[in-house]
Amino acid sequence: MSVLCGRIPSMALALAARQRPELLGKLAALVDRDDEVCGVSAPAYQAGVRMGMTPRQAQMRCPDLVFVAADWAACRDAQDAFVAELRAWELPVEAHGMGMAYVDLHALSTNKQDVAGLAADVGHRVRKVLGDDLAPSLGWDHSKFCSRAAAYQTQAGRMKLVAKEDEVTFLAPLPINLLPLPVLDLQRLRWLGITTVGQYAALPVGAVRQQFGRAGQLAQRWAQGRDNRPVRDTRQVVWSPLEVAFETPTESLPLALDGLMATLQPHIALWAAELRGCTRLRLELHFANREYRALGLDWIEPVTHSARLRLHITNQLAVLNWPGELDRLVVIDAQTGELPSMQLSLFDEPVVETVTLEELVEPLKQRYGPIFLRRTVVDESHPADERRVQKIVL
Amino acid sequence: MSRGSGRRNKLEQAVAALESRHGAGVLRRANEITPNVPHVPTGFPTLNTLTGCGGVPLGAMTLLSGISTSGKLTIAYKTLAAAQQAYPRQVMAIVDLHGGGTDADYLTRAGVDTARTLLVEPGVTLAAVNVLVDLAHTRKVRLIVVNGLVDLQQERAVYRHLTANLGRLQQALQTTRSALIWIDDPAAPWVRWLNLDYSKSVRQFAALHIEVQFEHVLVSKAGEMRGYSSIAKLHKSRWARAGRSVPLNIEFNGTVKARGTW
Repeated sequence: MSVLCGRIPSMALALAARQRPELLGKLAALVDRDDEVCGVSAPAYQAGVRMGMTPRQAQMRCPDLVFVAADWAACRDAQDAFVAELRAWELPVEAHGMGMAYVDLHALSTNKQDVAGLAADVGHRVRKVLGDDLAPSLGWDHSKFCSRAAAYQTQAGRMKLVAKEDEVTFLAPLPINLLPLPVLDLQRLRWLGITTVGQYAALPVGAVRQQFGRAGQLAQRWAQGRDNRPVRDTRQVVWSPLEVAFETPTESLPLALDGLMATLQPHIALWAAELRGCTRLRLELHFANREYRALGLDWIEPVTHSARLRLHITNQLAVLNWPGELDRLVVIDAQTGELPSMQLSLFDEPVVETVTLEELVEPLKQRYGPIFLRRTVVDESHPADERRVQKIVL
Repeated sequence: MSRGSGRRNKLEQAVAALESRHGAGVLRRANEITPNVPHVPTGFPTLNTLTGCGGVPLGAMTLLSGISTSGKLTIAYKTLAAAQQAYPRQVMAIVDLHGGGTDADYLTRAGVDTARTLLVEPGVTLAAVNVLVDLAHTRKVRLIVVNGLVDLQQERAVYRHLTANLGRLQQALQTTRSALIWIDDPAAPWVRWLNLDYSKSVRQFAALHIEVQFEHVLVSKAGEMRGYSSIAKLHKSRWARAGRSVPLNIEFNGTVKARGTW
């Protein structure tokens, strides 16, 4: 296989920054229609704000956080334009979430040298169409996970190509957060001292299966460089409509939701086991008076938690006008995508320039005043304390 | 066959069955696992071993308690010096709640580079708690020593504010993999056992709690004081069994550089 992964880091936030450039590099979080955080800037992530939090929870973590409403139309347009550029070679393109997609280059080239030119061409075209602020990072390898890891490990506007023989060596030192495992599982692994992909790959298979289930076992295969998933063109994925019928027509929203979630639950569990989440649902509501309504539901990032799915569906169904009692509900389309990694924590130990005390204190003293000092010994032989040590207010 | 050997046989059979089903190495004895915990060494090898994680853990809080002159500050300063060597590009901070109680002379003699040590004197105010969280969030401060947890007890509002923000502080430390050492006075064992001490909230959040007790003065053959000996007792550790203790010798011109005018 020959897989190119294109990724636009924090695409939704970058689009918001176009309207509000002052958000760049600041503590900012995107909020979706369900009043949940759906995008986090790097400084906000460092402050402890996470996707899926409510605005209040996020503000508890970071009082200076600025909230911005997600622009769905702009996100959708940008994603469509991104995928359209990737389809320019008429190759299978598998889109995931916002700003990420795989391209199967097997028909064109499996050679690292040839792919470099192709990837550069893709990067230039996407940058030309979407703008410099949405420049993609590109990763290439013989498997999807490794190409995704390469894309995550490189900056926007650059590419990283990994040869097949270097796969394991490349993956081994990468942080464990690269694997799209649930947060609790990652925390448990951290407590066990497992902090790299290589360490996770070396764990006993049985233990991983017992502790982390099928999803954990799948992630381990990826960590070992054994990701054999093909690139499936999103346009060719077929969804068989799912019908939810009610014994008697109902006007009860909770009842309708219970039926819908019960029908979707096996699929949600299957997606979770494959480390995928739901990105789009299309519902048709058929009412007893023979009317019907169509409802489209989108998520910026793939979601696998039933509670979050239910919340969004509840909010949309609640505002929809029901012309009568609901007779049946049909899920006519469902699209999924790979679960995202905690991308910003991939740079746990960034290369830090030497920090001076003055640089550190500058933003803090505006808030707290002159409480930051430095004491130095100027004359260690002097008997008087005040002459031996000098106090400097920063 | 004794009851103990019967149980041991059953355990070995169960382990063999699990290994045959899930593969060799699926089980390991707890005492065979050496936790790989990011840490900063304290400068005292026996103390590093006592903690179970090699020193003061990163991403967590440590509580060092002891009476004045027990050696707890020396341990904190030696840890700070070790952190500066391990992370030369980052800053270390001392938050002095006493106000002016940090002896720069002693810091230097303990091996701390005072030019790269930030001193913060916020007083016993709400800002003292907020500045701790902000320092942790900067990602540029690797180790924070807070001297004077006992002072926070004087202001109930401040102490309540601290208790309410301990979770946030813990989260910040965990996210940025910084370490925080609280310096505190000791509480009587029965007070601690009944959770009547004011530092119980910090104790609950702390991953490591060590109490230092002064033992005796070390005297040279010439009769001069050459240091002192203390006992470090482990009250709590996520990585080792509590209750053990080790002796620590703090020697002048050994652990800390002596001052000619002393």
